[in-house]
Amino acid sequence: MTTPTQAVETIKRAKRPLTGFEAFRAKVPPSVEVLISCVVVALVGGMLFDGSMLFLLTTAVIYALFASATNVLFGWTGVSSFGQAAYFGVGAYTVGLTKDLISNPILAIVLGMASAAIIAGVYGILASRITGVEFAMLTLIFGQILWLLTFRIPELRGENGIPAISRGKLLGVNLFDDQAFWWYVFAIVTLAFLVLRRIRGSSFGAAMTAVRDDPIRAEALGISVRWVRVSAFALAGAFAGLAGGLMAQLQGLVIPEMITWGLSGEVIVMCLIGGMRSFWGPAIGAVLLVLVNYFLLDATSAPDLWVGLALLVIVLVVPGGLLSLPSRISDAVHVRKKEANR
Amino acid sequence: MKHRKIAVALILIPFSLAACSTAGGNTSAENPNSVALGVIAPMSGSFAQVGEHISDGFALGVKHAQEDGLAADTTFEIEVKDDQVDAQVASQAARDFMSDGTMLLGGMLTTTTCSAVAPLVEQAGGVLITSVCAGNELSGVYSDVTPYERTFTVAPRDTMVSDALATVLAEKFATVTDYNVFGFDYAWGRDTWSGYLDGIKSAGVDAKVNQEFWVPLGDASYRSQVSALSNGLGDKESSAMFLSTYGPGTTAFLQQAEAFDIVNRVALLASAGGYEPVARGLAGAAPEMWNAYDYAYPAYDNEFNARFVEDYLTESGERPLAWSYNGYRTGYAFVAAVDAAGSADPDAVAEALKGLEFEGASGTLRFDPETHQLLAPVVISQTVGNPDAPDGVEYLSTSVVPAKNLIETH
Amino acid sequence: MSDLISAIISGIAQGMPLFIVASGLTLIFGVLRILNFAHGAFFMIGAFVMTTVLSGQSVSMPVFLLAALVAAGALAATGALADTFVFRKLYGQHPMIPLLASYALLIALDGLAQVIWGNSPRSQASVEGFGGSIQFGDIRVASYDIVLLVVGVIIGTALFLVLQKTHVGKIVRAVSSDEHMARALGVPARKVQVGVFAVGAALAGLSGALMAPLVSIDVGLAPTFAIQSFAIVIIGGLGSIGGALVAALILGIADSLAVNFAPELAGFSLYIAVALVLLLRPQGLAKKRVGGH
Repeated sequence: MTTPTQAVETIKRAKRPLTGFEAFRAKVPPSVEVLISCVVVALVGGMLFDGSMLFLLTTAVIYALFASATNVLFGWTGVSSFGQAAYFGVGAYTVGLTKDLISNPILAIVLGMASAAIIAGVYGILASRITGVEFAMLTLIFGQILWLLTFRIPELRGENGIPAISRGKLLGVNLFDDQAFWWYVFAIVTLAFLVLRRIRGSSFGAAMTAVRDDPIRAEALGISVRWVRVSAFALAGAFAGLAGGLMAQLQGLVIPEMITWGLSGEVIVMCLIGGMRSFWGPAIGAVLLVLVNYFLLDATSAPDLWVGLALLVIVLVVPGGLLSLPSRISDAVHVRKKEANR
Repeated sequence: MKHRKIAVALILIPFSLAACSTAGGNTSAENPNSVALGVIAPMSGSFAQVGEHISDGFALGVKHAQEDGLAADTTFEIEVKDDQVDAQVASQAARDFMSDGTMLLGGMLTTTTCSAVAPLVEQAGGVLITSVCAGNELSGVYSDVTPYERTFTVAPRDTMVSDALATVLAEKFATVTDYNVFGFDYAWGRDTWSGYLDGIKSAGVDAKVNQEFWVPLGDASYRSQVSALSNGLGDKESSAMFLSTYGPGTTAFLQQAEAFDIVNRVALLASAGGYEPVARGLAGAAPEMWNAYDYAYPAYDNEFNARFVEDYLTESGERPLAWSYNGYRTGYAFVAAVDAAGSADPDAVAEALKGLEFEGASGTLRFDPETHQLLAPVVISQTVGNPDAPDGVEYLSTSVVPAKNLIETH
Repeated sequence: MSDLISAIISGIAQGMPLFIVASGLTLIFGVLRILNFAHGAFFMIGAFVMTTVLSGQSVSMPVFLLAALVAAGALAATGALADTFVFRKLYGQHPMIPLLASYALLIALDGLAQVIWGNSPRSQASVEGFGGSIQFGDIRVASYDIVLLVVGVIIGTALFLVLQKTHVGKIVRAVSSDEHMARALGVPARKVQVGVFAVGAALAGLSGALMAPLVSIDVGLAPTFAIQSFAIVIIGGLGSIGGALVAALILGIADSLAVNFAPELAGFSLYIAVALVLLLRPQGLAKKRVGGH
């Protein structure tokens, strides 16, 4: 059963009595929702697809995690960061650098996650005096410095990157197999989403919302805005690093492109098209962007033009992101009903 | 419930597209005599020009090979996939090809993309011939044995190119000893320069570095470097300018250096890599440049080359670049291998490629059976911009350094 | 000492073009609060239009400037269209949403440029008579850099004067600081928004046209000055023209000092400079901002 607080919150937040699917959803504990969604998608994906299509979907799922991690900052806490790819890259490069030292894949990505969390935490504290778009600029700077360092530090091997990263074996199963890796990724990602969902519903999550909506009032209520932001930054960095580690294992290669500002920008786009105000928004946005990019790539000779136009259409039709669509449409339906009943 | 349905539908569309494309997955052998060849190359984005040339060259190579009697009964179906010079996209393209049954793959520009695809091809039992990638570690040239059983490399290796340039320039410019260097700060930029410097030094030139400037990849504003360079230039007769940049970087440098007349204050302006497109882009205003790369169309005066250049010009509307010729040799090699193997079975083709001999502009070409490197010369060109010359680029001289002068062959 | 002066002068020569490139972005960000990601695309299209109008040939200064104005005009039209069809619906929403739209616009324009102008890179010859350099004692300055310096000062002064001292400028600042109130007072806010976006785009296109003789003009040009432009706008301080000018000069000088005296830091100079400014003066370099706050 949902905790009374969460159910009460959902009902309070709703603009009108909840019916149908929404009422059902309010009754389901969030953790169960995450678990069931992930298991269903994993099953459907694993059964319907294989080979290169499964590889594509695995890529999409990893980006979904990265986007959700980034949304911890943008959507949950109201902090803008233009350099999240730095932490994605730290996770990836950690896995790459330890490929010969660590044979357990889970240990590798946990190490990547920890490095990213620590670096994010330290950076968050150092830059915590700064807010707003200036802070976002600083995060971009940090990402660029890390990118430049991959060319300067010989061990990071510059543009050729670190190749031949093996996925290793888990419980005796060789993760090189596409299906096995799909399940491995989903196990990790499901855990990650469960953790994120719990945090979202916790008092820390409420604190993040307070900091996002009205930092002055939050401070007056006794919430340390600075520490909430730093913690959110570390949290976002940690899960970005986890996603990066998984990507390194998926591709078998880490390259400086995993730290570029282009990727930082793309992940923000994923959050925006899916909807920053909902939990699943960024994940949906990530999957959509990966698939749109893929299908338009070989279909046309100027894929950029069509991807750009597609995004423009999405932005104009659903500015709040795809997942704001249901509530907007139901609002519109409700308004019409009200007027019809007058 | 309408609202949920719409949202769900929007999200399901890409998934159903995905399902359709795998369900309808075509096999490469709809016609039992048809062989699928996959080309992976940058077809969009800033390197789209390269991809265009690789794929046009590839198609022409296949056509000419069949005209020359190789695998004449077979129908080859060529499909091109865009890799956007991105290792992830290239891997996805390779996986898509091999999932569909297209096991013979060619193309690609950067060492990174080739390194990403080679292990995949190895695991899946396909065959890869890389067209432009020149990373030393992609073939066995510097390690005596090939790192990948199923990968073969067409382009000369990076070190072969800088060694060839050093060999020729050490002779022609023996008294030029003060080198001024401007390059992109990444492995290829740095290694090309250091390889060249070592090369001329071991050929007896008493060379030293007068000034060097390294800029991050992607930067295009060099005012500070150009001013400092200009201030520090020495005597013309002993000075040289070495550019370890490519494409847009080379153009931007030359444009910005014009104000300080740098190219006329040195006795030698040299570079390695694909410089000709830069010269063409400068529309007749390119300075005199010594360059080493895989091919230049005036370098070979024979019928084979003439046919290549003319047909390429007719079909693509411009004279071929080195990238075109690399794509050409890749396509030609695949047809020759299928002919020699008597089938398109990847195992047989891979076996046939070892030691395979086929015709090229420079004469007979051969894949070294141990290193999987195509043994072909490096071309040194001396060019200058001339609005009246074809494409605005006049070739003052070309010379050819054979592979066996550069590496050990088997 | 003369080395230092020479480095500073070449730093100014490095920085002034950056100011010109960033000026359009500064205006749009200051007034409309949009970080226009499509700025780089406007810049690239300005350069492409220049090569089309001039066929890449070297021409005299008046013709060159005229062609640059044509490029600016083309981008003004593009900017006005973009604002009318895309951004007008998005003002007043969450500030990140116009960002997404501008990103989409960037990608679409990149693709469009490839379709219109193809894959082969082009170049623009230098202006007749301005392809060389002038010696001032020990120091040599490129003639075209002096042109850019003059143009930069003109643009900066013009923007500043228009915004601070004219009636139109007052209206623009009113819309920027409080759109609803301005509307209530009868200010045609929509026209102001379209106008500002068009001028911002025109400035970006103008900068592309002016930079055309110095770079390779191809479909990869859009991201080239992106980070510098954003850095200038943000450390300049929320749309302040003066702040942006100072920021651009700081970046140029930092780059030049690094190249001349600390070559290992040369690639990092931009980032170090920006980080230092933000940490020492988080609100940016501006004293007066476009919106008046």
